[in-house]
Amino acid sequence: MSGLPDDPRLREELLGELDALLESADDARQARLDALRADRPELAAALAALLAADRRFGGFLEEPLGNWAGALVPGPDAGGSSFEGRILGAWRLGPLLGAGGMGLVHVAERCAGDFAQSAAVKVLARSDVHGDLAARFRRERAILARLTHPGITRLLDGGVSDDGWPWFALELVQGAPLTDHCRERAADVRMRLRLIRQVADAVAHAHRHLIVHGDLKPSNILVDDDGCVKLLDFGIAKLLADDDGADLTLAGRRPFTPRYAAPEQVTGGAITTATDIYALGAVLYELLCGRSPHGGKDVPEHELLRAAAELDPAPLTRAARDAVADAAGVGVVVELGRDRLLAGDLQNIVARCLAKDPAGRYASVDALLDDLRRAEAGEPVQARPPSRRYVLAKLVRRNRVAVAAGALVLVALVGGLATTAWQARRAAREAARAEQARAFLLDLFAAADPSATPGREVTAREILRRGAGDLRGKLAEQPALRAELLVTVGELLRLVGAHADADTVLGEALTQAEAVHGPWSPAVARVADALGGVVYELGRFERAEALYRRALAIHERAHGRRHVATAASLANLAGVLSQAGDPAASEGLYREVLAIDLELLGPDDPAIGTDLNNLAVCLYRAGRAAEADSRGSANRTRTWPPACTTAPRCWWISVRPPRPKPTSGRRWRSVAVCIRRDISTSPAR
Amino acid sequence: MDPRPDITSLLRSARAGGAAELEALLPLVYDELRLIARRHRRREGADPTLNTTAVVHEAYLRLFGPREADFQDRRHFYAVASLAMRHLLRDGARRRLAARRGEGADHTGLTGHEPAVEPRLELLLAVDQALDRLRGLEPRLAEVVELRYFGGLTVPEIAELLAVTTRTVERDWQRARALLSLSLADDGRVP
Repeated sequence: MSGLPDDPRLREELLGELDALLESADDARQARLDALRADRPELAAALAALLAADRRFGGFLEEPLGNWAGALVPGPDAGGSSFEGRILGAWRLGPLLGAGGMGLVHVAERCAGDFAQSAAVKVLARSDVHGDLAARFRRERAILARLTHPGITRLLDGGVSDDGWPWFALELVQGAPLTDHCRERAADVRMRLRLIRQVADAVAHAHRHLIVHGDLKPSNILVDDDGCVKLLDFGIAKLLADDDGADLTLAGRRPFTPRYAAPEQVTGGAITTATDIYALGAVLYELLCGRSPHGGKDVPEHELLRAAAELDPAPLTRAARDAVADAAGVGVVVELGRDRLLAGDLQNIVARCLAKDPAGRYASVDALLDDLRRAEAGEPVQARPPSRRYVLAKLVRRNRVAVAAGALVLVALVGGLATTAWQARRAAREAARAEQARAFLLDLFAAADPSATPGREVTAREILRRGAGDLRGKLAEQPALRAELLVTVGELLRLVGAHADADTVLGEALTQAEAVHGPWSPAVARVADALGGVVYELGRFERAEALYRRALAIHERAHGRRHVATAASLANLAGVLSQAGDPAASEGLYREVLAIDLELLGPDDPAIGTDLNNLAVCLYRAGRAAEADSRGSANRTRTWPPACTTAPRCWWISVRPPRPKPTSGRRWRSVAVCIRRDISTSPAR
Repeated sequence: MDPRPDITSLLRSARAGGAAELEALLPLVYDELRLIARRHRRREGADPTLNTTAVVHEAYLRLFGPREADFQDRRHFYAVASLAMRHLLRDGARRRLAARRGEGADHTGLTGHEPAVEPRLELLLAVDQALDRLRGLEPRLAEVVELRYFGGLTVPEIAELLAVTTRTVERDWQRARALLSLSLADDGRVP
């Protein structure tokens, strides 16, 4: 309190003068101060300072703290006024349904258009700090639209309000959180397992579409009165991430819930499908013993986080005994106590899901589902600590390429899609092969013993080379599988830029495929296509042309000229002819491809987008930019169905000048990634 | 059933001057306020306001029940509750500032970003410190500030509790406001 006299008498005089001044009008106040300045300069100066300060800060002190102090009390931390009655996008918000850490959920009715629809509109408790949420949302919507599963709540709409609140409209679900549902019905073990299998099934569906949830927890899993599970908020966590969204392994900061967080979320590692598997394990754990893996409701957040990163949860049966206080769970505890075999299997399954090291968990949700089914049926489960696979996975981790490997497989699949229309159509088959390829890769990495290469990092390229070498001596009794794996390794080698090796390996694969399937098998055509791609990228157009013609001949013989597979081969051939300096032939082939696809697939198929684009690029290279432009525009203005995610990339390519002749796989990989990014960043239409 | 210590007897002992009893009382009221405030926040949803008056009064009702409490008990309760509210909001402000400074310390959840709140946090903490200094010189002014600014009590309520006229409360408040403002200005604060 500087400027305030210590002497109480003087202080009282000062405060008395202050009263008088504060209560007088401006003129009178100034006159009084002036008068005081003449005979009591110190007093006048102190008063002037007080008055000046009061003018500056009085307003702050007069404003009731309650106007803004809500922000100082933990709670649903949104700003602005209540959203009830507001209109966001096409939705009129009704009463509040609930509030959570993420924000507020309102019931809403569609108020635009001519049909009635209800939704749950979630207004996020944070402003659009990055300023790009709306753009990111548009980008993600196309991807999220692919999720059509009865167990996944549909994302209907979303945006950012005029005053900056991001919102999402979700399918309205009536139901109770998974844990509440089980408690209320005193569900037995089998009923709980059935529910978790439903959850896992929905998650597996999303994973097949390369979408990770990232924040699975009981409150995100509703069960309706018919016992059907509905997952909420798929894709939301990713939308809120700070990262660009182009990567398949989602690094960067994303919201998560400490109680169900996987170690890699706590430590800032890559968020992958393994993260969801951890969360599934955590939810299963809670369903079976009444508390989450790292403690009851009263364990503080920071301890939960530390435990997630460092501590192994107590074994199920012990945790269940400890949590007996949860009355409705008693039945489950008794049941598990009686059925020791089931309890043991479930313990192993849960432990496998909750492995600290993502590579130590189930390789896929399907594998988890398998084990759950086995446990219920009394068959031996795969999860048994410490499994050989787990030990291998540990080895992979020590090689520090685990994440890169996961990404590689995905890039192999997605990057492959971006190359030709034929491969795009093969997407489903490629996805089904992912699991197989992944298992094989694990063994590849295991072969790369770190002691053999002390003191340095083993590159993916080296591992693949060794794997290819290993394949030569192995699997003699399974030539078909060997051929298949040779192709996979060859394609991966191409992706890491080891084109010479890819050439060799795919050459072997071709011989093997011919020997196994005969020279006219479509399997041979597939290898010829892959090898053609490699030599094309090596700039050996003549050899590429020969390989593509070979593939074309096989397809034509198998399916006739007017067939999508044949058309894809024609497109490959057209590509190489365009590079080899025969643009007229190339153009003719592209037009034929377009005609075939138009006839067989109709004008709305994504392949048409690719065909139009190819033709546009071909015309552009031939110096006919105006025609190319009209093709490209036609493509861009087309309204693609929501599931179509390949069409938007076409324009991206055609507005850019032709790339220099690609000489390395690295460049092509980056092209694939660019295209992939372009797919995911393009608006849905 | 109710594990809470008898609030009335605690209040009485505190009034009798036992610092230990006051120490026992403060956290009790603090927790009560925090619980109530959180519930209010949930109910009010996105609204950044917190009706501190309502929170304090509700805490009173919960601790004393509907019966009319002894005048001295009431006076003491509101003094303690205002102090507890001051601590509650101060702690909240510190937490928010720490989270903001910690750059990434606050990534486990989504926190709201009411833009106008941020600059007020430092001011609130400065008021809290200045209030301690004011108490050393003019304890009654400090008490009025606590009851009004933090406890959210009205001038007539404060006048009744302190057994003075509303005129006196108003004048005390004005004086305190100017003195605290001066302290903020001396600290180099920006309004």
